[in-house]
This record gives sequence, structure tokens and C-alpha cells, in this order.
Amino acid sequence: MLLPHPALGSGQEPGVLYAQALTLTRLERFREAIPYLEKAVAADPGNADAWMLLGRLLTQHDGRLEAILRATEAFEQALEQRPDSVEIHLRLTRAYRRIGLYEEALELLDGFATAGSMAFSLALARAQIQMQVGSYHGARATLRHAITEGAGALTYYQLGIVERNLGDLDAARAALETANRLRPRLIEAILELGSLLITRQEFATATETLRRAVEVAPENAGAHNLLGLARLRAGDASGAVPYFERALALEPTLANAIYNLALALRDLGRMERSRATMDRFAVLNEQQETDEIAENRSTEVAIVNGRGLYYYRRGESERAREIFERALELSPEDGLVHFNLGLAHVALDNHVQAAAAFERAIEINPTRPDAYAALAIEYRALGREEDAARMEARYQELRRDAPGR
Amino acid sequence: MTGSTASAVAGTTQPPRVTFARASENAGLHFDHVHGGTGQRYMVETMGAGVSVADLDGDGWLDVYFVQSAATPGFQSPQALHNVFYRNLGNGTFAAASRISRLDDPGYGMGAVAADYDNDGFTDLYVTNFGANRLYRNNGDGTFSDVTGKAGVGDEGWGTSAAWADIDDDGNLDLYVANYVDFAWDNHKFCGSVQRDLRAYCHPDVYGGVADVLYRNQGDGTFADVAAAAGVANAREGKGLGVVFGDYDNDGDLDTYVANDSTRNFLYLNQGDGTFFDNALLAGVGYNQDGKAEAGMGTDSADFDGDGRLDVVVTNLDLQTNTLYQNLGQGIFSDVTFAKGLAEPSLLYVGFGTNWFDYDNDADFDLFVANGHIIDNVESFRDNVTYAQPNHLYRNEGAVFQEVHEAMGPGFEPLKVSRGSSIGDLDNDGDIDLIVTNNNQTADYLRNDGGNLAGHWIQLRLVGRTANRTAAGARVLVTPLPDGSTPGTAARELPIVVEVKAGSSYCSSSDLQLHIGLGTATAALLTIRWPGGRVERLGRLVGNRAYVLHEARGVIAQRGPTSQ
Repeated sequence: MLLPHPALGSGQEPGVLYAQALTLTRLERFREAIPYLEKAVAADPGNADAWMLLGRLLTQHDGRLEAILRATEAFEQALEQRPDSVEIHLRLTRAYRRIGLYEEALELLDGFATAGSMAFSLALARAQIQMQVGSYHGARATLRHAITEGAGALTYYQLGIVERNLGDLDAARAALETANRLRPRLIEAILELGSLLITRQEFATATETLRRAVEVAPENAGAHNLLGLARLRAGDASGAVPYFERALALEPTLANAIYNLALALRDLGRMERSRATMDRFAVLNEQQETDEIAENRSTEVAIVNGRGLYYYRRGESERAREIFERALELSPEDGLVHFNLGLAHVALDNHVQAAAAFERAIEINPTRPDAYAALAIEYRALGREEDAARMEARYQELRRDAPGR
Repeated sequence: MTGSTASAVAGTTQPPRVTFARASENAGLHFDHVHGGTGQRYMVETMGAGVSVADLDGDGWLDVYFVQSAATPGFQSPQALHNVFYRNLGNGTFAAASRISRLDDPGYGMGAVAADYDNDGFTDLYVTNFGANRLYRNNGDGTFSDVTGKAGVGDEGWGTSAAWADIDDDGNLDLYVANYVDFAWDNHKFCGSVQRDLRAYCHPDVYGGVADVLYRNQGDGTFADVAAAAGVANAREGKGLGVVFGDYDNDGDLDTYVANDSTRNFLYLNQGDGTFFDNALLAGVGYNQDGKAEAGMGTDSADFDGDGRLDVVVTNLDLQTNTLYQNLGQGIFSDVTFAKGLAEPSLLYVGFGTNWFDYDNDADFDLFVANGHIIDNVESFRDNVTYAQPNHLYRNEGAVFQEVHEAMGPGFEPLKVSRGSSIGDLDNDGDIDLIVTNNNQTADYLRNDGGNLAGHWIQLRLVGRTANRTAAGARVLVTPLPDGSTPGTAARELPIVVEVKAGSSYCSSSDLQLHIGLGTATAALLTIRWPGGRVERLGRLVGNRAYVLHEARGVIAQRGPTSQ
């Protein structure tokens, strides 16, 4: 290795550490670069480039919640150094969205103005957040304004989605057609338009549009499925089948392609195969629906938990406590959130509540060492020495047994 | 409001304008629904309740039975909450008679469906609750008796819509009860936006499904739950809110369609012996056209395109559109919602109650949809929808449906949170009126004014003899005859197909009497297929009259329209 690891205490200059991180990044050894950057910003908190790169690497190459939280801090630090940077605004906005800080993200964008193509990127980001918080009229206004300033295909595409959500399908169609005209190879816009045209029973135009989609993205299973659907809805079941089959060759678990194929086979009178295909759909769909429900719930809890941790790390412990308590209303059996709630209580000197939260975290997940350690500290603070010693012993046991040791 | 319809129709080029009046206040229908919520947002609060329109006292005038909610934990009600029975006094007004009739069910009510389950000539009432359901037997003297225990029909799930039908053609009405989800007071969960500290009503995904119940009438006043044996106990996917029986495959027995919320819908085809198989997937009525389950709320069926096959409408959540499934025959349906112009107008609305009916008597089925969002604070989450919403009326214009509610007068003006809906000619004037329930709000009586001038009509009250007395499931083919014509010179190629339904819409049931608009025709020929298979043909019946038809005996009574 050409570089000594920063944890070894090399005593290198911050500039050197940053340069080493840059070299590793160029070599695409992104994860290795992160410790150098941490060291660099610790030594020189005024290095906006180092903060920025740290944030980028954490968000792009480490998706864990801890990493996103740290990236958020990094972008905030970078922004302090460079308050006029459009790129930092955009990246910080994205990081905020990933941990559910929508209002903070909007506030950040609202207090910033710029011109040119970067302004369109900001408008798109703003509109996406507005949609996330349910402000469709706001998103429409943002996008329309960007369009009057000369924004391009992506903005029209986004506007098409907003218009659809506002129930104005004519406007949605017009926006998507413009997006398609401005950038004929923007696959998302082609598929969205094709789907809308099918919905509106304009099958000939839909077919034409979706033929373009499979030309642009021949490996896109969704495009083949939609093209098949356009044919099926137009009454051409035999013409539709090959498209569904192609979609399924590309993505065998694409449930709606299986469903459509079953309907096409039914229309062709091939009942046995249709039934078998529909049975396959039913099994797959049930699994996917169950997974989707569980994932949505868990994503929701993770986002709320992340938001709580964000405030906890900023020292806003009372706010963090409230957020963790609400997260537990969503998911009362989430051991991690109980643990985080315990941390917030510790910061607030609520030792009884902290101990209770750690106890609950241990009940739910008895093999979590840090919960025993934290609980030992709280028992000690409450004068429960024996219990504290027991928890410490358990902590040591778990650490000893932990994998990798 | 007047009986002189024939002359009004003849010779006019522009049909008289039909409007719907807000008639609750003047009619004395002062029902105020109370959901019993305290801000905890228990899921049950937002589901509202339905209504049954039926002649429960047998005086020839349609009465109204409103279903009431009850207290949620911690709720203090200033008044006792119970279901309310309004007797139609026949003079344009109604009088509450809940206590005297003993129909003041205090449960957390969801729905009600009327039919003469014991074939004694008096219409009985089944009430679904969040909690034990109730069966009220009509004593024939203005009172009802709670016979739930004896009958064995007190399922304790979260019952929603129910429907009566003779599934095995034994002359006794059986009962299908849709159950929703496994929510209970003690498994109430937090839903909404934690980030924004906003609690909201839970999505049905948060709770598990519950199997529906099918009670087989044993003919001795008791019932047996045969759901599992009959093949309709699908607990995994069953989150039922709407049920409607009909002969969807034209094979002479009654099938049922169940609208499920967030899981796929069911189409149970009767195998001729009271057992069913679910053909929803292959029929194309389980999912939307993208293969996605929708939030089915209410449902109704009718032959809207006049091809002799029953089509189905299902109301859904906003951005899903309501869905119209056109029956193509051969067991296949096609989602024609967009093609028929019903999609875009419904995109931003949450539909609940829905009814096919011919409001302008032009001899085809128009469509009513009662709207209201689920989330009472939805405007805090999204700015593209509202909680209170207008109800919708779509006029059948053959190729497409035209959105006409904005021109329908005061009855369609209020924005409310509508849930159940039921139809019937409440003032016996020859056009169909509407009753709509609203969640935590007063109910509405939308009186049809002018429908009886817009076209001719005929009303048929069928009474079974070997068939169930209610004649639920009877199919009638009505062939309108132009003025002075004779059989064989019909006004249209194919007859109008109608069936007697005991239960449809959302948690509601409508009048059991059939009302058929005849357009410019002044008479009609009838072919009746009674449950059990007996077919009767009746010669020319003069329009603008209400007939009582007994199985094997023909017309036994008739009357003209009433002017109140």
C-alpha cells in the first residue's frame, strides 16, 4: 500500500491527507478514501473540498444510515464555507431528503437563488420535494416557472407527472410530449407518455411511442411490457404476446407482464396456459405485495429514525426524543429506535427513562452489546451497582463472542 | 312531482330538465351521523355507514333506515347513538320510529340490507356492525324482533356490506356478509406522518384481511355459515367493503362480486349448487388494467350497454379512478373506464356508494357515485385533493358517460364526505330519488324532480311463490313498446335487462322494486326469469304505472304515480 492508514496516526498534514484521499478516489478505492477525508477535515475544518468529497463518498458508496447522517453533516460544513455553491445545495438537499428532512430541504432551496442550468436543477429538486410533501400545486408552479426561464426536457417530464397527479391528463400529455420532443431518448419520459396514452385508450399513438421506447432501451423489460399492453388493449392479443414474453425473458419476475400475458392468452383462447400463467402471477404478486408493504413500513421507520438521529447529533436532544417516540408509534417493536430513544434520554439526563428504553431495546434484541453497555452506565447513574455490573459482564460476553473477533 | 308524464313526453323535442332537490330538511329526514371519534383516528371512524331504502312497514311507501356509528373509546356523546328508522308518511314527510319499531340498534353500525328472509310477506333487516351483526325480523305490526341469536347470524367481525340472495335456489334467501380488516380498539396503530406530527387514518395494508361470511338459510329461521364449504372464505385477500349479486355469466344462478379495499376483488361464480369458484383473475375484474389491486369501496352491477350481460362498477381511491368492467361474455370483462369517459372525472375523488339507475327515464342506466375522502386531514398531506367532495352523476349517452352533476341542481351542490347511497322512488312519482349518507355529517335526500317528465317508466314489485318471496335474483327483460305499437314492434332491438338486488353500493341496500325507464315508449313487454328458473312472459303493460307481479299469477295490483 502506498498510503499509511490515518488511524495509524501518521501525523500527516491535512493537505496531504486530502491529496491522498483524492488519489484513492481517482483509483476508485472510494471506501478507503473516507478515513483520510475524516482525518483531513478533523485537522482542517475549513477545507470545503474535503467536506464535499467526504459527503459525496459517504452518500454514493456507503448507503448506511450512519453514513448518510455523516454526509449531511459534511455537506452542511461545506456549505458554511461556500454558501454560494449550487452543487453543495443540491447535494445537501438530496441528503436531507434521504433522512426525511423535507421541510429543511425546502427551506434550504427557498433561501437560495441562482441562474442558468443549475437553477433548473434546483427547480427540479424543489419540485420533487414539493411532491414528496404533497404540494402538487407548488410543484407545478415551480416547474412552470423553470420552463418560462428555459428549462428543458427533464422539467417537462417532471411536470407531466405533476399534472397527472393533479388530474389534468391533457396537460400531462402535453408536457410529456414536449419532453419527448426535446429529448427523444429520455426513456423515463417515453415510458410515462406511453403509459398515459394506453390509459387514455390511444393505442395507435401509444404503440408508436413505445416502439421508440424499445428501440432506445431494448433491455428495458418495462418498455416491452407496455408495448405489449398497448397491443393487447387495442385487441391484438397475438401481437402482444411476444412483447410480454420478451419482457419476462429480461425480467422474469415482472408481475404485471405475467398478468398481461395471462390475459392475452385468455383472449386467444389458450385457457390452460392462461390459467397457469395467472396462477404464477397470483403467487408472485402476493409475495411482492407483502414485501412491498413490509419495505414501505420499514423505510418509513428508518427515515424517521434517521431524522431523530440527525437532531440528536446536532445536540437537539429534546427534539430527537420526540421524534424517536413517534417512530415507536409506527413501529413499537423496533429495538434500534428504543436504543436511540435511550440515547436521547441520556442526553437529557432522564436516567430512569433512558434505562427503560435500553431495557426494552435489549428485550427486543438481546444480542446488542452497546445496549448492555449503555444500560450499565444508566444503572450506575441510578445507584444500581449490582445490575450495572451484570450488564457490563453481559456486554463483555457479547463483545467476546462477536463475529470477527 | 306530477303524474302527467305521458303528455309531457309526447311531442317534445327537448326533454324536460331533471334536477335533484335537497329535500331532507322539508321531509323531516334529520339524520346526523356521528362517527364517535376523539382525535385518535380509529380506522373505523372514517368508514362511515350506509342506509337501506325499503318499504319496511308494507304501506307502499319507501322508508329509510339510517345506520349510525357509536362511541370510540373516550368519546362522550351528548345523546344516545343508535340507528334511525324513518317511516315514510306518504305525504312527502318522514317520522322517526326507531324505538317503537325496535330498530334502534346501538352497535357501531356499518350497513343495512332489507329482504324478506323468512318468506312471511314482511321485509326484514340485517344490520352489519363493527362488532356483532344483527338480524331484525319484521313482526308485521310495525315492530321488529332481534332474532340474531336464534338465526345464528351474529358474526362479530367488522361487517360492512351484506347482500341477500338465494344461492342454491331452494326458495330461501341466503346472506353474504363482507368483512373488512382485523382492526380492533386494542390493536389501533399509529399511521400518518411522524415527521410532521400528523396522525391519519390507517391504510388497510396495516391490518390483516378477514374472511367473508356466507350464511345458508336453512328454511327454519336458522342459518349456517357455509363460507368455507362454498369457497368464499378468503381471509388472506378479503378486505371486503362492497358486495353485489347478479348472474354475471348468464347461466341462471346468482354469482357475487366483492369489492376489496387494497386487495384484489372477487368474482365468485356460482357452480349451480351454491358453491362458488373465484374467476376474478381470468375474468379481468380482480385488478386494474396494470395488474394492481385497487381500493374497492362500493360496487353495483347493471347492463349499462344493453347487451344482455351485467356489467360491474367499483368505486376506488383517488388517482385510481372508479372502474367500469364491461361484460364481454364468455367469462371475460374489459376495463372500459377511460373509454367510457368515467376515469378522468373521478381521478381526484374517493368513491364509496354507487348506484346504477335511470334518473331521466330514457331507458338506459346512468351512474351515481358518492364521494368523500378517507383522510380527514388529507389537505395537510396533499394539495391535490379535498376531504369533502362533490357527488357525481354520469349520464349514459350510449358511447360514453357524460358528467352531469353540476347541472343537477341543489342536491348535488354540497361538498360532503359521502359514504353510503341508496335509490328508490321515495315519493312514488315515477322517478328515482337518492339517499346519501355522509360521514360525521347529516344525510341527504336528493329528490328527483322532473325525471318523470323526461321519459316514461314502469315499476315492478315482484313477489316469489316457489322462488324466494323477495324475488331477489329475479331477472326481467323489459321490451319497451312505442305508443300504439303491438308486440313485435319494439322500440329497441334488445330488451332492457334488470335484476332484483338485495344489497349493493356501499354498506347499503336499495328498493327491491324494479324501476325501468322506457324513454318515449309507453308500454312494455316483460319476460321474467324467477329464481329457480321459471320463466313467465307478460303481454303489454302500460307505462307510467307501478305493478305488483306474483310468480305464476301475473299482475295482481297496479297504481299510477302519486302527486304529493
